[in-house]
Amino acid sequence: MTSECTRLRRLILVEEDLEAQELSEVRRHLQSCSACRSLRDRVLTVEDAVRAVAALPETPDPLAASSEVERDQARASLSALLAAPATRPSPRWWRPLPLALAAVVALAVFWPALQSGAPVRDLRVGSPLVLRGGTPAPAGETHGVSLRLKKPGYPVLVHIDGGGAARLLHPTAGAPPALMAEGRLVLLPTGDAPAWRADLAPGPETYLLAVATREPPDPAQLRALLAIAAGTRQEAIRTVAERLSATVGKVSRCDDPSTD
Amino acid sequence: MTGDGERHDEQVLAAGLRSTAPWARQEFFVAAHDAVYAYACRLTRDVDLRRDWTHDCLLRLAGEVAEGRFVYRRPGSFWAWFRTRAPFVVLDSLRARRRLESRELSTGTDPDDVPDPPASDDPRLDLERLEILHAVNACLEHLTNPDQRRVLSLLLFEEMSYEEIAVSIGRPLNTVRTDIRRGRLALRSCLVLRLGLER
Repeated sequence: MTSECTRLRRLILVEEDLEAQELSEVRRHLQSCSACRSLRDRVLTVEDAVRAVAALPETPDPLAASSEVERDQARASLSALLAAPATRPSPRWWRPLPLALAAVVALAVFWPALQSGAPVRDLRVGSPLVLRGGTPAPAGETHGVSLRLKKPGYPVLVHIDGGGAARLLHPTAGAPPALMAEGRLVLLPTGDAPAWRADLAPGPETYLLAVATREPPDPAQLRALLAIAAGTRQEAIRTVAERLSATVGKVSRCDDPSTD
Repeated sequence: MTGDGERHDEQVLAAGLRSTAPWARQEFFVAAHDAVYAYACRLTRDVDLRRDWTHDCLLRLAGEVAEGRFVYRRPGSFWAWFRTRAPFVVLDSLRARRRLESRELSTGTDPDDVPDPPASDDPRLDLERLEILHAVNACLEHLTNPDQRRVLSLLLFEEMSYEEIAVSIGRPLNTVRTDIRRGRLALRSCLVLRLGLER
């Protein structure tokens, strides 16, 4: 290998990404240097080997051509896998720990600013009329939230009970999301029958609210928000808030003081 | 899969795997198991190896999603990634097995104790090719810059264009170009050393 080879080796290995001037220099060298040409060809052959591996076929029944014995073996394999995933070591759980700590600190610092950017104002648990004490508490208005939208949108409200179970309070199942006007007092969930409180686990309650401002939220996606694994209440709140934020938009949280 | 057997949208499933949610792992295992098992059947007649390679593959892929090595782009991209990536992981297990067998034979083990040879129906899967695939995987693993590793995986395994990569990971095109160039240099330099390509 000549000194010219050494100098150009870094360029030869990234030939696809070179500027015109570098490329012409490399091409001139490759024409005259069989060793570098051979090296480049070997590298490309290696990458071709990667591309030559065929993907798994897309088929509804991958074992369709298998014998009944093989299908039985496959069923046993799946059962064993499902029965024992928790016994496998969790891979490198500690790796994201510094990032998680940094995120917690950042959240604590920036939480007030994040809240001020929420798409609603006057957000509180229960109807403000009830909270002021100026009126008897109508059924369904001592729980739920009241708010005013900063601009027209489709509010999405999730409730998490003392056991960490999440319920979609608004929009209600079967009813298409309705566009709500800016500035008007909104009470959620709508309707006066607090049937959703029938099976709540005792303990503190939390509401998570987000507002879709561009288009109505997809009911199927909203239902998927609620599919959470068994865990603590705080994990449930965090999981739903993350999904709500990703699916709908900025999330505001309200804890029900009457249930602490 | 939820308690009532409903399948989640793949974006939700990928997000669940990212957060290592048990329901997501279970749903992924159920949906992906048979495809990987059928592939393992093509490579070996040994029932235990088929099961072990399938389990190892599914657990590794779930781990890769949890580590952020899959980037959701559009409907279908998760399962397309799975179908592309799974054979590499199973072939890596096949390679490890073949190396073990060749070592056992070279150290004088009784040939009767050596398990059945793999029943691969693909003659291109010789040990040399498996070593190449393993080397590419290993060199990608050893890239210290995660951005370079991510863009190169998309480029190499999913054959995406630079523009598609920039859109899918939400980074400027020039940044992606730079990451690819530096990553490609690091990857190929590693391959040259590992595979002895300068000979």
